[in-house]
Amino acid sequence: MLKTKASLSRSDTVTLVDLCRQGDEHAWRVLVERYENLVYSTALGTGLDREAASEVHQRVWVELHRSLHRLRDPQALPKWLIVTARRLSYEQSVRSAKQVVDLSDELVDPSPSSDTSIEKLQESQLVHQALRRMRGRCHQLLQMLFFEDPRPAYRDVADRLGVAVGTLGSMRSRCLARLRELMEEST
Amino acid sequence: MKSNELEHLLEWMGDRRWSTPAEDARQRAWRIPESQDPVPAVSTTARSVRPSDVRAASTLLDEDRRLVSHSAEHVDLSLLVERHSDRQGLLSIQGRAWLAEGRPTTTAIEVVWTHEDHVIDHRRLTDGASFRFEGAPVRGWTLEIHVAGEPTVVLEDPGA
Repeated sequence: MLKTKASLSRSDTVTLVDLCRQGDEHAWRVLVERYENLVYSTALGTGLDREAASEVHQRVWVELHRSLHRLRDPQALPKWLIVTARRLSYEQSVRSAKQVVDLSDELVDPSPSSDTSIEKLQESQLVHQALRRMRGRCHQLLQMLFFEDPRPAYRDVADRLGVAVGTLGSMRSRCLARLRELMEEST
Repeated sequence: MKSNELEHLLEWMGDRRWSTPAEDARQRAWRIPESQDPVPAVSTTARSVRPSDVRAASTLLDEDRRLVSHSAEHVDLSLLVERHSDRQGLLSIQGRAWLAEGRPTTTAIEVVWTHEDHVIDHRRLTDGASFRFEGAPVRGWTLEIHVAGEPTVVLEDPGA
């Protein structure tokens, strides 16, 4: 029986990859939604601009689609996506004659080696998935505190949330604790 | 993960501009299955061609360029593998593939450039047609040559 997109979104990555191999378009969409930030942010993190990072994002998904039947360890898909995004960012930067940061040809080789930024990006994916499950003020607060560019002042954050500045510290601690719980639930 | 570790990670994500791509990028990625040609699977009778097998037919033109030729029963292959030191080491593989004599010239030849479980690129060719792949340098790549009904020829990176 075909699964709905809502029920697929709760599926693990191995199941999604398996369904994608069978040509399930809903599963493909859920997989893209789940990991699009990881792919895009990996490209952005190398120093590419948004346009070039979007191009890399597209090419990574093309490469994944044609590699689906050859993935030996679908559980390790996040790492597969990171090394592919880095390799294609490297190519993109050479073609556009732009300097990228944090990227040498030693790092674009999709070998089974590990490095700290791969580990951090994988952890970031877990945080991202937990943040997506977070609702309400906690979600808003963490987005404002960590992801808005430029970072807003505490007073602006408080105004936008409709709370007193003095309560932000405890609210921040509570929200981080909730985020940790959500991460633990999903691992 | 401890609370302070989580905060550091969130800071790192913010500094690295962790963000969502534009909606049209997502839509384009969603549509990929509609437009992609399937990549052939490696046949169970695949034959691996190791660097030592082609040494006699592999010529190092200079430090960064190598000519490779290989003949299987059903297909002949000629390659120029080049590492472009003037372009931060980008690797290019250009070549031509011919069907062995006696085979219908309409038979397609598929060339697939891979590294481990990554299909980096692929081309569907007619007899005698040329192809070119270009990408970031990866060590230990392979080139698969698929012809329907024949064992896949898997040529291993002659420079590895």
